[in-house]
Amino acid sequence: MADDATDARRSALAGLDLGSRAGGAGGVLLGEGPARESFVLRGPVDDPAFAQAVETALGAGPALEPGEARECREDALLIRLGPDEWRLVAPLSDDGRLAARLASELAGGRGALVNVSSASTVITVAGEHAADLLATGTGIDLDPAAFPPGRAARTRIGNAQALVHRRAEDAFELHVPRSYARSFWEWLEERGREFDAAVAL
Amino acid sequence: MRRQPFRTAEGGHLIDRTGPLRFDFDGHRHEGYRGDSLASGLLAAGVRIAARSFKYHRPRGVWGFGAEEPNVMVTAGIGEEARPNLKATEIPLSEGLEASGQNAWPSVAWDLGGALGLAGGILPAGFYYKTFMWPARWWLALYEPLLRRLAGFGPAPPAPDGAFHAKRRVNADVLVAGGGPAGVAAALAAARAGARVVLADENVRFGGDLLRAPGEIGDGDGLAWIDAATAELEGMSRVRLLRRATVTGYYDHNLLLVAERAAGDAPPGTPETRLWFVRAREVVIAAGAHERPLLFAGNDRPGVMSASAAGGYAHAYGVLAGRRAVIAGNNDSIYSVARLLRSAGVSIAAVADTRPDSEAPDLPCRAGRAVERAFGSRRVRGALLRRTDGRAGDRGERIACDLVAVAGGWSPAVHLHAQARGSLSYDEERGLILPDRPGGANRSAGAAAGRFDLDGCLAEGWAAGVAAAASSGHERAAGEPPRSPDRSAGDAPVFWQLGGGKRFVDLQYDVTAADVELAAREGYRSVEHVKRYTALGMGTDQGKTSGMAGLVLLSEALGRPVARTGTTTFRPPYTPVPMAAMAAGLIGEGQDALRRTAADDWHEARGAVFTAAGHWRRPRYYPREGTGEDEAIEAEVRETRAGVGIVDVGTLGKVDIQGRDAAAFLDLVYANRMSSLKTGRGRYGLMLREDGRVFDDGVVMRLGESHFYLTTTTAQHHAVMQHMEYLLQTVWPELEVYATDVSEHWFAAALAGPGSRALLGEAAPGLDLSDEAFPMMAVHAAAVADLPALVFRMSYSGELSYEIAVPADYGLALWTRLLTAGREHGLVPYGTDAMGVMRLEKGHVTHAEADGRTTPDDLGLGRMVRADARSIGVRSLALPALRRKGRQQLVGLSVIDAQARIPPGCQVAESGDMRPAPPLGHVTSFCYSPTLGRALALALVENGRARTGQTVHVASPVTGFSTAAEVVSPVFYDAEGVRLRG
Repeated sequence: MADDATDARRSALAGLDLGSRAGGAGGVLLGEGPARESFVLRGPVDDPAFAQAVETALGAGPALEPGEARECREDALLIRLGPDEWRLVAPLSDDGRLAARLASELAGGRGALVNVSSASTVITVAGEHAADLLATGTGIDLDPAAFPPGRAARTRIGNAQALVHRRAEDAFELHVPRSYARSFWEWLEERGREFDAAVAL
Repeated sequence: MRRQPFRTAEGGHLIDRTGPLRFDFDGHRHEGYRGDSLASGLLAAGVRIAARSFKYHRPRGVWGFGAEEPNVMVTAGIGEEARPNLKATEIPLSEGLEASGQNAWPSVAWDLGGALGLAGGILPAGFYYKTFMWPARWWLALYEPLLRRLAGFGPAPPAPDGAFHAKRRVNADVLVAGGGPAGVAAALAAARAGARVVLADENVRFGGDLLRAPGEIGDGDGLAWIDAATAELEGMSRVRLLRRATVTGYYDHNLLLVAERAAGDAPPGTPETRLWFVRAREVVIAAGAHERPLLFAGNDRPGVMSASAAGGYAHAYGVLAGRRAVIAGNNDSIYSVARLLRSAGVSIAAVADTRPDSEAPDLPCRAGRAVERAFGSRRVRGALLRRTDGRAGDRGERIACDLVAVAGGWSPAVHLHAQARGSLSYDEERGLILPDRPGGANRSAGAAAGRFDLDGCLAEGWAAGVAAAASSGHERAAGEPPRSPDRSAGDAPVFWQLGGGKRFVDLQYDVTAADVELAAREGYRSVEHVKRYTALGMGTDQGKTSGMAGLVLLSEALGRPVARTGTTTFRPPYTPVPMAAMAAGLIGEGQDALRRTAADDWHEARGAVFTAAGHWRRPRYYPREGTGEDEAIEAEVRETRAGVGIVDVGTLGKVDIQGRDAAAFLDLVYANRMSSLKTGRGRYGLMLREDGRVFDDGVVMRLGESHFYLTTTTAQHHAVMQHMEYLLQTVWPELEVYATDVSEHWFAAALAGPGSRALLGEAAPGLDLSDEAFPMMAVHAAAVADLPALVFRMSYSGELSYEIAVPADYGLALWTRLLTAGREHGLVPYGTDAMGVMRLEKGHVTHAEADGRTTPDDLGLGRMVRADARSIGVRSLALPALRRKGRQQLVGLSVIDAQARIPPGCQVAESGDMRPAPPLGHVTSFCYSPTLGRALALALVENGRARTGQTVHVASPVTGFSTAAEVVSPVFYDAEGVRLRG
């Protein structure tokens, strides 16, 4: 079943056939990030048992700054999105082990872990004008001093809502709701004309 | 003849003389230089008539230098690239530019409409309220077609704007609006203090007034200081300099809109415009001031222009606006303009100063005199000067000239200050409307605040920059402010007019002094009313030059002080912004969000006809060869009821609820009990608003002791999420419940029909589908088509049915695998129309019935509500209004004539004779039921349930339709629910 299921996985952007359009250099490179496991973690940050469970399972505690994205075990990322809300993003190769470990640490205690792996499509925006392109459609302050690498924020960009994660000064990952992904991509490409946007290989 | 007869041999700091450019105006080829504006290019070429006036079609020439230009609006470009109503002063000259005059036929130089000027008497203020009234039938036949041809500015382009327009949002500590001496000083001070600065100016080069006239800063040239300051700012990473960028709007919370235009020599691909949305902590308004006109007969003739503009064309572009000038004004600037023009090669015929005791030995000074009349029609040929003190015996002095440069003093550009809801004050002595209390985090500096000397502008700008930076948290030392030897106050006494005749106040809308006086005589008192009645200040220049003159004239006519008259409201935009610039990124294919389910590619390939459901698109039906739409939908219903159908329900809202208080929470948000659910079972749930009306419905499934999964309708999904989050965060924060929106994670498809069990059995071999193991409203996790799935047994269609949810990445695989497996079972995909028919046949409600006014009892769902509940909305159900007799109740209507169909928008009436009478209710949903062979409807009808068995009429009075129907139970089909068991 596992193999069949893996083959059956299909990105929301599959219909655009980005592979055939990749190439060229521009002020911005647009691409699709690799599929990932993604979980919503909820819980009381001031409950030591909860904090300990998270720390034990992930190697990073939940007491992060708002919007902080912290690298944790298995190349996963824990992003604080609200007072009692985090996003855990893990590579697909992890096969759910990290989340399973977290779920078992949390079991019997407080908090909740919800699989939302299919809920968003990851779009990468990189290059000299990456921040400028995003600034055509979002009101958050993208100045590196205000929104440095390692930060994330949920915001509206163009025609969709996205979780924006700045990986480097000129590299962003946008987690866009799956049903919006295609028309958001079209919006990005259209606005990207200003910066000669190209599709990343 | 020289190509540029009015170009000086040298000079002009904005132009590059190395390569001439060719451009066309009204079909004539001209030559200019890189760096020219269209206005300077036209003046250099000797084109004096560049526009025709709005009402009288009088010839008009360039009056101003920048955004204040009231006269010369042109259409630039041709065909798709035509841009109407641009100010010639703001169009950068580019090679091959094609521009044409407006509001004229055949051309601005020779305009047949000019005859109207002779008939001016029939077009007084408010003429459109008074004339063309009689005979009435002439309006459509004659007046309107004629006026349409004569009135208005440039025609709207016939085709969509094909150019690329950009937008950008940016945050700043300090936005400086205006890049004159005050603005540059402010930006430099703020940037040195460490602030993130945006400096925007409408011109191609920073400098403001220094572009038009030389000035001294420090020990040297003012513009050189500006250039050095600009270079320093350019080198700072936290500073953004915007040229050709006008701050047009000041909105709430210090959001400002800046419209940037592309340079004339911009490389291809450069956005034609870029709108900057600047969120600034602090704003420095250094927008400068606009030169005021003087009112005299013929003050609109080509060749009469703003004195500072005339000087500016010589200084910045090396262009002479005339060869022999009369310079007239009420302040000292006339002397510097005269000297500037003289050094450029203009012969100065006279300098008329309204003030009696002024003198300038080096100039032909006429103290105590003003222009009473300008002569000439197609261009000015002379001016009549007369004493301003009205002394008897003054016969006036007629002076030949081809340029009358007028300097009526300055009006501070208080627009942005006022847009931010700052208050204004009137300085009686100086005749200035000045910014008073700011309405946002802003401060005005320089000429915009009434400081007209260069030294004062620099000092005020600098101080404003330091203060703005400090307010935004940046207090590094900025150094010393620049100084200038120019400390003349630049004030002008209030003087507006001399003599009678056609004195134009608003050049763009052809409003004369007489029009304003007429409005006052006719009883208009409010300046806002006078504006609308006379159209003064309503043009695209928004009265930048005319507003103050109109205000003074009105106040004089009414015999009250200017301060009491007040100003009209300053609204954005300060200068026009193209619609295409505002629409950028919001229109066109793919720009509005279109939500697609995971199976969307399949629907599209199958040729589905889609319908919009919010941002979603959903298949409405799948067309079939050789049949029409109705037949295809009916076939989908028939084949599902007889065999098995599949429908994409991926758009439903889905919420994961966890936490130790999850069950208790659901008991509170639903009107019926959820805590009694056993794990693995589900229940239809009804959510009420606080006022007792039905809010949403859906199914709640219990996946574990404190773990639930619920669905919402597609339409209310966001509202339900918001409702629950609100309750959890503010009403019951003590409950430990986590509601997570999982709508995007799960794709879902429903199999419906008697054949669904066999098909699902094949696709999910591990799942026991017997009624005992998998009863109605049960949920199981299972592999379906080798995919990890949740399977719910529930039914919307009234048939045996299973809803299968998989993570959306597997959605298309689930859909296609089920369709492949279903081939032998005759599986038919159906769309929302067939779904709607089947749900109507079963009497299930949607938002057409639960329309925000209906209670559970109105919908026949009263028994679901627990009378003792503390749930939201239940207490309100006891309100007398919600319990009274005569409320409209949900019923079914079975149309008696089997051939009849129901049109949209029908009422339910006692009789079918169409006499006006209050209806009993209205049809909420209707369809033709292929299952029952007749038209059906759901309706909300007064005392509906008690009417069961009676005949009523379904009527559409507007279309004259009426048909008889029997009131029946809303469940038309399989009331016993036998088919749910398959």
